[in-house]
Amino acid sequence: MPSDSGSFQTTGGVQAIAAPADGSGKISQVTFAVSRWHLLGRLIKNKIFGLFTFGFYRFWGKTHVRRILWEGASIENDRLEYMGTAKELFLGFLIAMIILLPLMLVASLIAGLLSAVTPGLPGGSDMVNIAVLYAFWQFARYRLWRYRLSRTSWRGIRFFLSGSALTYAWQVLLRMALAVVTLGWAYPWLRAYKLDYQLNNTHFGDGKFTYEGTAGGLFRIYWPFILIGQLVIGAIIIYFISTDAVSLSTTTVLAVDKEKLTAGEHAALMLTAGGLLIFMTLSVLSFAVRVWEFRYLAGVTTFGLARFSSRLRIRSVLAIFLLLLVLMIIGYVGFAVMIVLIIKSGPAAGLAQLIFIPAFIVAWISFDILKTLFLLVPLVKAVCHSLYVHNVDVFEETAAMSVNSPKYGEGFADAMDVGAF
Amino acid sequence: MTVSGRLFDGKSAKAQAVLLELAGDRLILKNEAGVRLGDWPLDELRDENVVAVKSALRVSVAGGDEARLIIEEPEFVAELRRLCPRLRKKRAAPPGWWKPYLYWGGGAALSVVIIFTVVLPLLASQIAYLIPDSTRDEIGRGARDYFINAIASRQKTTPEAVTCKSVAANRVLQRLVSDLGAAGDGDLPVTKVTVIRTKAANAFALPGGQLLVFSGLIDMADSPNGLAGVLAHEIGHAKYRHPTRLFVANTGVATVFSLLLGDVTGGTFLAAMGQLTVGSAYSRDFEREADRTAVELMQAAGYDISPMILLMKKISTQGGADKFSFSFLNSHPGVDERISLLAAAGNAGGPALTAEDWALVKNMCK
Repeated sequence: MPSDSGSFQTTGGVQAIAAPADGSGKISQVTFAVSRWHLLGRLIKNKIFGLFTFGFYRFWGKTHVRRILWEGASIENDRLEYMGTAKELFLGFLIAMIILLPLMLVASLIAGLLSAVTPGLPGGSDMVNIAVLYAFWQFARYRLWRYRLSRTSWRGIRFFLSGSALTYAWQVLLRMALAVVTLGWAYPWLRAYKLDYQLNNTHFGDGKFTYEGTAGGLFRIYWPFILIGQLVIGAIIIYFISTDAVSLSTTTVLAVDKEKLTAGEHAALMLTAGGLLIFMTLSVLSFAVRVWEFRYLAGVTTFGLARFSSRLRIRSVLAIFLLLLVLMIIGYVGFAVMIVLIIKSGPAAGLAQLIFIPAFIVAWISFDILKTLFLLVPLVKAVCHSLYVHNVDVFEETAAMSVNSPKYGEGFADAMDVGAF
Repeated sequence: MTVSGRLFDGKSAKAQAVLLELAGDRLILKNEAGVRLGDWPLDELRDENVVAVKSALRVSVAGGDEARLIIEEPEFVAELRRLCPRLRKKRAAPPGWWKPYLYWGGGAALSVVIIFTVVLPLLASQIAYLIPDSTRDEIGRGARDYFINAIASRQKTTPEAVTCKSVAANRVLQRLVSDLGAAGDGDLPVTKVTVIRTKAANAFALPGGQLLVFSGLIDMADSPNGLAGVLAHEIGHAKYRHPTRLFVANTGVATVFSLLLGDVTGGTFLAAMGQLTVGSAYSRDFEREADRTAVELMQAAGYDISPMILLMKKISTQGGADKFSFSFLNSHPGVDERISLLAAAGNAGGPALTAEDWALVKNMCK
């Protein structure tokens, strides 16, 4: 789309920044390869053990999966290594339980009471609730990143993340509020802050990454998405109001008149088709925006004299999602056919029910596994393979640094289960 | 046999070219100038590749040591695999490894137990009394109007139309509730009765002394004492502020379970199950307390409570319990137990309303 507007194009952005004087640096592609069979075996084991331990196996399971995934990535033929242990995660969780439990209890009670005391203001306390949760989530995510980076090692040297998770969460919350108030127009500013804070606090050994992106640069990426999103939402609202299907009721809550909504199959069909079209458009656009953003941030990030570039393509990301979609549809249809066959051939209804519940659990678990194998792994692979490190030799000059890395796991983050793997 | 390898010493990211040779049960690492860089016992070597690579090793020598030796000579790799049987085994945990598990695990378990047995019940009862009366009244009025509006919109009419407005009948009910309250220790937990025109047989207490009665309950009651018993039961809920306490307890239980289990396979399901069992245990206690209060109040006021048993049986066979929280019958497993509690109270006492007053109430929503 706006590929001609320049600055976020990787080549343009890259050349403007920190081009080495001699220009003869070695360029190296990041690679990623894991054995899906090995990963599949591990994921199945994790699910089974997880079921029998009421979920407490998750710390061990996660650690095993991470070791496999981390090892899959390599730069200059040297693999990343995940140094974290399940013990750290588990103890982090226990400590978080002791600290977090009373805190969460009091917080949720206060939130609940607030909503009970102000019945006239239904939105007010919900907003506070959401804001607190959002800030807490950001806090947890930052800590999670800190833990993961500090347990990631390449060539025997660890990464780490400095900065304060509390500052980060608070600043993100402020910018998010602004983004909501401005109907999304301040969202690039929020992204700019996040990237700036995270990347400029990322270290490898005694070296530091530098991110020189700007809010303006991100705005040039995001504006079409924001504009189209608003046009679509505006059009939907106008359509519904014009058809009288939605009216502002006395309680100022959008009341939907179902009879008018479903009047005529034609209208229902139109609505479904229109909704699907809008959903697809917005999805594709949101993928596109993330891809552009990634290329942009790679282009404006440096590590000493080393710099990065990414050739991530929208269509390769889209293809991954489409493949998962197809697999899901096949899975659902297959599952439905199986259920019908069982019901038809089953001697008694009781037996069908007996089979149905475990079958449902298996289907649910397989979706989770499918997602890891056919969404997470290909996405990480696409991102890694798109990434090039220029002047990769710079990294050889890095020495280890003993810094204050988190002693115990992810604690807060894990109790809330932030993060997919 | 001397082969070359690459050593990352854990101090610098630069690979050092090393020459490797085997000397008895040890692996000797030398740099190209012949300076000895390491002397690694074969027993301690471990391959750090999670997924084994056929002809390459990433070797470490000790648990905390981040140095890695990369060996990519197939013959030497095969030789090492033969000489080091524990290459793919896990390192033994250091002595005392279990201590942090014990301390932190014990602390967390203790914290959970204390929260369930002490903190939650205490918080629940304290918070219920901490809320100022004016606020509670406001919550109660808001909740009452909310229910009336909800029922009116479901029946597609106005809130006025679903409220049974008969002044005389309302006065009768008001007086009955006051008499029941006064028969106890004199305080009046229920101050306002509202009868709503709807088929469901139900009654529930709201905060701030509000009591909602559905006309279906009045239709189903064969005698004034059945209805009076239900009202006394609801007065019991109001008196001990059960709605607020249950709300607090449920919030707490949900928080604890979702934190404990995370959201893994079955985690959400288990959390819901836990909340259901613990939560309903709380509410069964509340029902028992309200029934006991009902018996006390009815006996103190000189009314026969036994017709309430008949009414309860009638409602439970109809499956009349609605989805509203704090409805009159909401924990099915306890119905038999509750009936035996009421039966134990006997059938002493007279009618709660005169025949004329009962007729007024029976007809108030017709």
